[in-house]
Amino acid sequence: MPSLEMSGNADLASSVLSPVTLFLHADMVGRLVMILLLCASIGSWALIFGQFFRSSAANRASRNFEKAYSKAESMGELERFYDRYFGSNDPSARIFLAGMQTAKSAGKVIDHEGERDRLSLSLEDAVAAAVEDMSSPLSSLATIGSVSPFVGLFGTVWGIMHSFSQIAAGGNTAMAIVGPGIAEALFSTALGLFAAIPASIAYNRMSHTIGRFESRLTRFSDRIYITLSRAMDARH
Amino acid sequence: MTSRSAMRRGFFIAVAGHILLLLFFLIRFSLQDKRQSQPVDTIEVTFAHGVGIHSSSPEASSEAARATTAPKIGEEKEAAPAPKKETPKEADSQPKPQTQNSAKTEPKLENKPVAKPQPQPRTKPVEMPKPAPVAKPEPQPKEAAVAPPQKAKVTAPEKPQPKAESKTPSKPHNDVKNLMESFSKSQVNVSDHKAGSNIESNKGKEKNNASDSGKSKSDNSRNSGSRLGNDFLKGILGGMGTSSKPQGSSISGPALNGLGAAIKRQVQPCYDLGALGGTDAMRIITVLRLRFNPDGSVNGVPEMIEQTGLTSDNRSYARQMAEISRRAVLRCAPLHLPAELYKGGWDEIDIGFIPAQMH
Repeated sequence: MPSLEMSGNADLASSVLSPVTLFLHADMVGRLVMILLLCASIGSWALIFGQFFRSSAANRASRNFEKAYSKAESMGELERFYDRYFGSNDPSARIFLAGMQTAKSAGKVIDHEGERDRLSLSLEDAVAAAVEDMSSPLSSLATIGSVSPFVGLFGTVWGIMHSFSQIAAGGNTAMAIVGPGIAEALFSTALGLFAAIPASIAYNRMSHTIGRFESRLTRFSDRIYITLSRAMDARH
Repeated sequence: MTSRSAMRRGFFIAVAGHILLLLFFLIRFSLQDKRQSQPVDTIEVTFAHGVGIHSSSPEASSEAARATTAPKIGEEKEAAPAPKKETPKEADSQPKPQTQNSAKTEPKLENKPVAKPQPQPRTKPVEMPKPAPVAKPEPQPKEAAVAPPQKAKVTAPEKPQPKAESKTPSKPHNDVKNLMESFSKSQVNVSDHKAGSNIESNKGKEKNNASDSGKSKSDNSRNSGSRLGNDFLKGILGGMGTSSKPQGSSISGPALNGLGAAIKRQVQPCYDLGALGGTDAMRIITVLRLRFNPDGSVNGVPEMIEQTGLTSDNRSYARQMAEISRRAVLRCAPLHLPAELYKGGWDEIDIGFIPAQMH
């Protein structure tokens, strides 16, 4: 009897920190919480990596486009430049295309003030759209970062409730009996933090880079505005 | 387009990273399992040993020592008569032990030899106040004789002390009665050692009268006391030999393991490690010497014999662990153990408490 009991406890105690063991020892609610948190963690990391690739690609493309734009601007070949980049998906290119479209559709300019307003509005919209597109994962990361600790806490509270009720039923308060239940309960908090910490770090980091990206796009759009508004003034 | 592909790439990387992390933990903890499982296994085995070892080994050593002492006693007795002025009285006192031993050794198995030597010293001083030298030699033989019969460790320490030191008044009286009883029994020719313990108590009451007759017999035998030399030695030696062997056989082996298991089963519910559970203190194995009354209650305070498994980490818990073990026994105090194993079995028994097996 005692030897059997012991061996069972020994297995549980020695492998108690193994994530799989902890998961298998949890009850339904605990498992649900753990699965949810694991998905959150995978999702947050997917967003982090995806955003990293996307923003680095967008940055590279924007830089290249701006370089090409300044070259075209200095040579006065904006029309050809526009034709060449028509349909491009780069943020900077879309801003430029939006501005050019507004300027072209103006036709013969009578109300300079109104035309400039329209141009600036379209440029602003284009910048806002690009930033918005860029920052779409932010809200998910913020949610994961702020909510998953609470979800994990819920799993822990539930698990501890569970193990305490087992203690009450069994009447045995030995640490070796109580321990595994509490360990498995705490595991869900660990999972919650495991998901939340990278998510909230990435959120802060990302909002910073997106802010930089936005200011860069704004500067570029200002540049376009200056060029196009001057061109519109020159057209009469 | 690019954004979606980038997100998909990120998703795959994230999944792969999590799987790798999981695998890492699995491998790491599976390796740890092997390391940790070993100490647990070794701990499990020891409980039965803790009970078994003590019962059998000490007896053998005590017997050998007595064999050497016995001849001296015989000589002293012989010498004693010479200094004594009153030859008849002295003769009475000396011959008694001799005749008793010689007669008792063969019939008596385990308990009797122990009881016999004791009554003689006490009765003698009361009856014969005269010779100091006579009394001195007697205690030595008694102790020697008592020690060999101690099949169970318990009986030996208790009996010799009260006789020589006279610790507690009540015990000596009881001992005297027992001695008287055993005395009479030996003469009456006791049947078996096994039944002896139970029978003795009953017989003792009945045989108070018989003891008187036994005394008279011994008086008669005084005349034969002149033979002192060879018979004396034989009786003592024989008594010791027989007593030790039967005792060991009756207690040891499966019976003792069963006894240990029974004690453990009954003490277990009261064994509460409290906050120490799961700590290094679990490695401390405490051996307590328990003395039980025949009704299963604990006699006196369990005394700590030894503690093993002490390390620098858990040394500070040593006293606490001993206290926990002690408390466990006292809380579950009246133990229900087989009465036939009391004498030489659980009347005094050393029990090792292995925390890992006690919950």
